[in-house]
Amino acid sequence: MKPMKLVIAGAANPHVPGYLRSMGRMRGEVELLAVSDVDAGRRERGLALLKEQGLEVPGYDDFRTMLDRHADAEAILVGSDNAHHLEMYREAFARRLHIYGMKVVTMCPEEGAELAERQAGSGRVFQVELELRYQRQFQKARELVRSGRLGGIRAVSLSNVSQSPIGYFPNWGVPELSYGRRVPLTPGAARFRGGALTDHPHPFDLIRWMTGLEFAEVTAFASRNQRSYLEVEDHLVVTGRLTDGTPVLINPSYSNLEERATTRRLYWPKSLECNLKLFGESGCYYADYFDHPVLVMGEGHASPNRLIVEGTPPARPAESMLQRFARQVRGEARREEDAALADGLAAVKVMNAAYESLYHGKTVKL
Amino acid sequence: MTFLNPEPVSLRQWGVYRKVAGAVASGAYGELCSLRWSWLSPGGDAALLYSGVLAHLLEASRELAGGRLERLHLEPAETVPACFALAAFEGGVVAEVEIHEALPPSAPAVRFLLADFTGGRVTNRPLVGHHHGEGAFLATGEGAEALLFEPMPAVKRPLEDGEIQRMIAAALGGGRGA
Repeated sequence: MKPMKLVIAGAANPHVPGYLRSMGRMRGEVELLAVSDVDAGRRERGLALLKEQGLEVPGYDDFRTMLDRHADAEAILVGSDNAHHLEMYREAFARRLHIYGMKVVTMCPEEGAELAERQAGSGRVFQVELELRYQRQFQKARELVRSGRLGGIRAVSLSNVSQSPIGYFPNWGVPELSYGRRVPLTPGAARFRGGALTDHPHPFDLIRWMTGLEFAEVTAFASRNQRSYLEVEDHLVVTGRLTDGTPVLINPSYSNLEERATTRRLYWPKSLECNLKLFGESGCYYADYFDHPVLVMGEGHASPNRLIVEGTPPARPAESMLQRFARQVRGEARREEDAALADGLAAVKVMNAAYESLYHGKTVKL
Repeated sequence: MTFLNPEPVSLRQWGVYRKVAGAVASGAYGELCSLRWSWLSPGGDAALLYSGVLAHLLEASRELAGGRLERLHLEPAETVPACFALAAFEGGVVAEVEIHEALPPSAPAVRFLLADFTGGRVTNRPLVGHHHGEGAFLATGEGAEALLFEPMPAVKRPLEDGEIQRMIAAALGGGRGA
């Protein structure tokens, strides 16, 4: 396959370093041309990750300059702060680029509608990073639901509890950058939308994807923040009902504590608890994101001298999300696990309903 | 799981609850923020779902939260004795509850409590998997199975490495083998 020519616009998203680290492995399918970020520190750290893999590409502070200089780019990975996604998407559509959108696409419904309109009939791939679909244990869950092996699904519980990345990505805790504007969590509150809930669209997406159902209503409760210094929410839980009446429980909190440091240093010895429980009429299925974990500990670890649970690389690696994107750009048909713009926007709709529920203290129907 | 002392205890006697209550009382880990309860039972008593199990969990939560129950939201499941509940207590503590009283007989009972504090956590929830094991877990009326998506390593032919084979042969020849 001819490698897809990609530029990365923005390294503000905490997931961008992971993509940069994988560029060397994807050389045959993805040719990275350049990286831009308005923040020189983030940009240079990103370029250094590439250099470690023998990849030297230019960096730019302005994404439009980058696009001008690399007019042969076919696709763009938008990894800026959420608040800057729209201007980058607009530019990408204008230049007829394929788009890989980091979460969240946008928390603003009007922006979402504009994107949907631009995307319709554009002939361009717009893939959204909704990563849980690519885990085999969750694909198995979908298979169990669809096959009826558990009987009718009667309840779904899903946690997506992580550390807060705001220590090492401070921009992630600025409401205007993460949520797009400053909206109090409850009337008169000094906490604002844009924290753990905004960061976690994938559990909402996973439930839609597994069941094939939409959310009919949601109810959210937030406790006091664990991290009093954050302006955004770090601790909340959401219940809801799907369109067939199935109740769901989702915890998308930042409740795995970490050191307050400029790099990720975990206190709780697991970065992510992502546990699914499906309760059917004739059986139940529980899955953990960490299918085959290991325990590590050492002075040289990023979280030094403490026991840490980590996932392991698969023995037979599946295609990555970015590889799936590249193959779609090259004309391969979209697969069921490939999340499109509409999926990203559907998850955001549920998340905004959860915010409205928090604000008004009542159940919100979708 | 076989309980060597099968006589059940009340929530207040339960060691995990007492550990959390001790942490709340001492303030060793800061202020309590939230409680997450998982109460999953094969062959539980459906009649006690709300008036028994849920009520006791809310009462225990109120005790730990140290303030009155201000708001309660329930999501009952249809056709099975199960529900989710969210409870907000005076002072800002939120409790999340999941109860299922009719799991397949092959599924183990679960009583997990996770308490998050401003400066720490106390829990008996597993770090890995749902029953302190790797992989996923599937239980139906036909039985239960652990599902690991990663393959195990296996050996299908002798190793072609002269040095190692010579060393093994020498060690076996020295009387350390069969």
